[in-house]
Amino acid sequence: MRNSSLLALLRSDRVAFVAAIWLMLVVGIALVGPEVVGKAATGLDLRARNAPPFDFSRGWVHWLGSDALGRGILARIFLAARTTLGIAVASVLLSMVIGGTLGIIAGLSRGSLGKVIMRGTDVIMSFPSLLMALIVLYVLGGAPANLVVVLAITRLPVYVRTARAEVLEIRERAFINAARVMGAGQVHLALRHIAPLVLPTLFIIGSLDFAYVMLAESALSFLGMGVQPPSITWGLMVAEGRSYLNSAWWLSFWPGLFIMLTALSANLLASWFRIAGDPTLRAAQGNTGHA
Amino acid sequence: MHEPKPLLEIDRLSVDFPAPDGLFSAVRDVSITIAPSEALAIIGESGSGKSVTANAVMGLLDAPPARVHGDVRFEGRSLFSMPDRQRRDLWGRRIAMVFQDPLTHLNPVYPVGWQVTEVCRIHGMARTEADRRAMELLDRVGIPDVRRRMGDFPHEFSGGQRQRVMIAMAMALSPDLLIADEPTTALDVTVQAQILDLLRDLRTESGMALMMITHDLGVAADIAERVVVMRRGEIVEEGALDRVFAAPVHPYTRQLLTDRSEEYRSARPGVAPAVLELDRVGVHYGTFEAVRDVTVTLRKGEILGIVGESGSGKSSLASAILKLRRPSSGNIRFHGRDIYALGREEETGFHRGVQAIFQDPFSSLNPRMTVLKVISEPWLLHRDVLPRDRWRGRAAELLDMVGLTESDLDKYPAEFSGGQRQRIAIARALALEPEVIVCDEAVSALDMTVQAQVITLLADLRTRLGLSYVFIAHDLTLIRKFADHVLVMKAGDVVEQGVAEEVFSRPSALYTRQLIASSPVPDPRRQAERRTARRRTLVHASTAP
Amino acid sequence: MNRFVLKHGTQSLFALLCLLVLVFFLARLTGDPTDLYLPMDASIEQRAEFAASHGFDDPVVVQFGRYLAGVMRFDFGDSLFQGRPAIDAVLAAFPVTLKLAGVTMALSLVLAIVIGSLAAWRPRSIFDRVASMLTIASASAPDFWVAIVAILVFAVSLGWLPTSGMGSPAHWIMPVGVLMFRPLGLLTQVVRAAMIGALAAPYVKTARAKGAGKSRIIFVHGLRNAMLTVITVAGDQAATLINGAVVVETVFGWPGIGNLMIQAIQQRDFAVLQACILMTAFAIFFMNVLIDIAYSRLDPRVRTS
Repeated sequence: MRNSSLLALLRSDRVAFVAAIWLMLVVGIALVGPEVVGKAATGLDLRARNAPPFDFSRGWVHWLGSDALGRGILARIFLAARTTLGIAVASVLLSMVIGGTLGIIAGLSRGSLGKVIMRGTDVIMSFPSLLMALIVLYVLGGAPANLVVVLAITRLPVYVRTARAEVLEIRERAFINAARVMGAGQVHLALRHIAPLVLPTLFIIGSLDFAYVMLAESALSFLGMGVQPPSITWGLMVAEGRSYLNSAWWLSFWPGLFIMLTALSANLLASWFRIAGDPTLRAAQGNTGHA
Repeated sequence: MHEPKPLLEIDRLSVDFPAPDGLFSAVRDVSITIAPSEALAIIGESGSGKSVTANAVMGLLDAPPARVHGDVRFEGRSLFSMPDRQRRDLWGRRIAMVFQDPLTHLNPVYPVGWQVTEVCRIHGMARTEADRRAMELLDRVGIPDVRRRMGDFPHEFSGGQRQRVMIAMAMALSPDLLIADEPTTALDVTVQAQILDLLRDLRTESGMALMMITHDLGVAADIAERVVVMRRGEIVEEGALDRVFAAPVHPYTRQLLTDRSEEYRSARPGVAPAVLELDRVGVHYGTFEAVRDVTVTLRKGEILGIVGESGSGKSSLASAILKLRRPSSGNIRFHGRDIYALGREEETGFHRGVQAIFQDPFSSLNPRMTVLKVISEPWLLHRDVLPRDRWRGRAAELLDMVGLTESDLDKYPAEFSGGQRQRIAIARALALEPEVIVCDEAVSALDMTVQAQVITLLADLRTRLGLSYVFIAHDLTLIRKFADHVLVMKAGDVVEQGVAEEVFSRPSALYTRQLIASSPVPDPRRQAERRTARRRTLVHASTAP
Repeated sequence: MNRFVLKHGTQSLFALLCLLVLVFFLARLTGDPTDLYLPMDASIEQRAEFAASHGFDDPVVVQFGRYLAGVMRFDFGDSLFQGRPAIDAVLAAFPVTLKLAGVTMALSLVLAIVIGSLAAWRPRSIFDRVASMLTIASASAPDFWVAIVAILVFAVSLGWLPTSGMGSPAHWIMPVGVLMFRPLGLLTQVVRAAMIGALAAPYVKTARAKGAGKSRIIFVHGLRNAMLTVITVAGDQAATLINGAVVVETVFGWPGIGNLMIQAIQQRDFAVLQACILMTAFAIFFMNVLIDIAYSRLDPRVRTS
């Protein structure tokens, strides 16, 4: 895969390009945002209590309005970006690594180990993930680290199943047999041949899952079972603003919009990458029209 | 002589597809006519444009992206400019088509009976009558016990039967023209022979014209009256079957028809030492017995050909030899030692001494590894063979040996054609300087001319390096040209084995005779004789697979 | 019943059992219920009596055994908070969620099939591009936020629809509308992809060569095959629909199982929590069996192999 041509392809698709820019912006906010806004995100400012948005006479952190304690919404969003994205990225990486490894093992194992792994994923799959997370988080408490682990576990099956299905297909290809004839062992096959072929698929799933996990975290925080104050995520901001819905709609609206736009960008980019990264699919997309 | 009015005229047809670097022109300026009841074969290798031509006639190319120019006329009326409704009225009723792979071309979720009646129903036949007609047709094409099997689904039939169903569907409304796109390519030779006979009989009965697309000169010799030879989108030669086969004009046709049988075989080694010995080897999959009691010896410098149709157990036997699947009985010895009871060092020796080349050139190389990585993988696994700083140089030598160049080392497999990929696979197999190479259908997926080149290469390497081959193929002609010793397998059993020349000239088993009679040869006269012979050896439709 | 359905059924049953064990022990970890129900200054005797009367002083394994035996008789114990059998509370809440989820799923499926098929007929057309954008957007929307915005617009500003409760058809519009967002988006994408795959399949070529028209190709040959994929995904979606139902029921104040479960967690009401989870899991198990049966009816290859 040549990166320069991929970049050119990205430029040619306007929608995907905008999505990529938004994601980079949000990641930038998560990286440096909290330091940029500094005390503006936590300090009280009673003169700005529930100030409406688009009042440009105040500082820029108040442009999207202010909350009941007079803190600028934009500042709060910047502060929450790090926690929100951090949790999502960490749990995606965690489930991708563990799920991918388990899936490759399950695909290569012809014995009971593979079966145990698959039954385990069945158990996780057979119950609504949000309910499972609710219960576990209530037991363990809503610390960000717990949230990461719980979300990662609920998303494990996707990676395990995908990786296993890919391995089962790759395992039948002739180059695997050719390597085995040369005396290659399971570890050589897994690392040299199988992992490099499975990884791109896992990354695509990961980018789709990033959106999913972020939405799940927001929902949990919204229900009060996720991150607890004074930590803050976008989902928690929506929940906190809910009681002011009649008087100050902006408290809930803006953080929710940030969730939506970020999830949307991740989904758009993932579906674009699925086509752009796979030349056969790219051709197939153009080839199915009927005269 | 009076020229009959043509049934179908393909008039200066061109088809282009968009490609990364401009347009790829798949068919260029092709004109073909077919008279009523004529049998025409379009011969060509992959990329010749023969299938694109057939699909363009039926309007089955997706446009866009395909750009079609020129015209196709049926009984003088242009198919390209007539309204969709009228064209649809011709499809299935006047012009019908049979495809290469019957499993994917039949809809998996409908019973076969329904799929045959569908043609009749589309063209306005009443339900009960359509049902009766479907039953009659399926019976005619040789589906046994039709009344019961009408409700069965495509996956419940064998490959040959599925193609019979496709043919029944095509024949439903007695079309004037049948277009058959490689209809027998996916089938075993004995089944292929039966399908060809069926097509021939149906043509005699109904007087329809046939346009047969094939890569197999033998098939063309069997069924056609006139042939068109295509290459890279253009017609290179056209004429009556006998004339083209007896006196080809174009160099490409001549190249296709060249028989190299004598070029490959070197003098058979006398009593060279045994390298590989199989002793009463059996292979099971669960309770299914894939291979029974195979005993054979491969000597140094010898080529052992194993021939059989699908399900004969030949590939299972290869897996056992390559230590990919443990035999359930008997033993296999490499230089006298049981390969499934080797010490650590002997194990390494075995993995160096025995290599493999597999069938599918597209899956035999890891798509994410450069050629250099592919060829040096054996050295990575056997680190004492070659120091890392000499990998590149040695890989270049090996590439040179198989007819590629050093500049190819940094390319990825996707940049090579099927034949070139098989050459790379051969280079990889040579990296550890093996004594035995197992070729499991190693050239079956390649075009005829490419096949000939790879076989020449293998024959040459044997002479230069003293290699022995286990050469597995379904193609009788290949084995005949190449092998010293032959093993004929059927349903897991060895039905006959011996010195190649003797087995082929004086076959003792009935099955070997059937195989030989079914395997088409690119010679119309000999093919006609064989057809008569096979009518005698083969039991027809009633016991068809 | 055929082997395919049986095999999947036993697998799901096993999952069900694992879940039961998991949830019982997890729920025990949430904390001591005696702390919750007795006043802070309760004496040790009072605590012991409370624990003994509810069986909390037995070893956990004994409690689990008693619980399992109860489950067999559909006896999930009494709700500590509501003072009635847990199963009654669950059975009262269950139909509400079932109706909500059922209506949402049915509507989503129908719409997804129509939109997805139209988009697949001409991929990359304007309709396809717009539909793809919208479905990805709707699959990316946080449902709780959509619910809040909907209340803000339709209830608070415009005053067209009631904010919470259930009763008149008007009460259904917002909850169903919000709950549909995700499954509709996802299913439309799945229908589109499956239809594009089916329409590019070789058997469609055969149908065209037979002289079949557009509608026959789309509905008889394409859709029937695409439905195999769609049904599987719809099954997975139905389980995730419960996720959304929890949120929607909380926001719109519907007395469904999601609401009940959140309450139970907050009140540490073991009996109700376990009954909720088990009933939900059982409902999902039952639905999976139904989907397997539907699948094996639609795909003859599964039926006979």
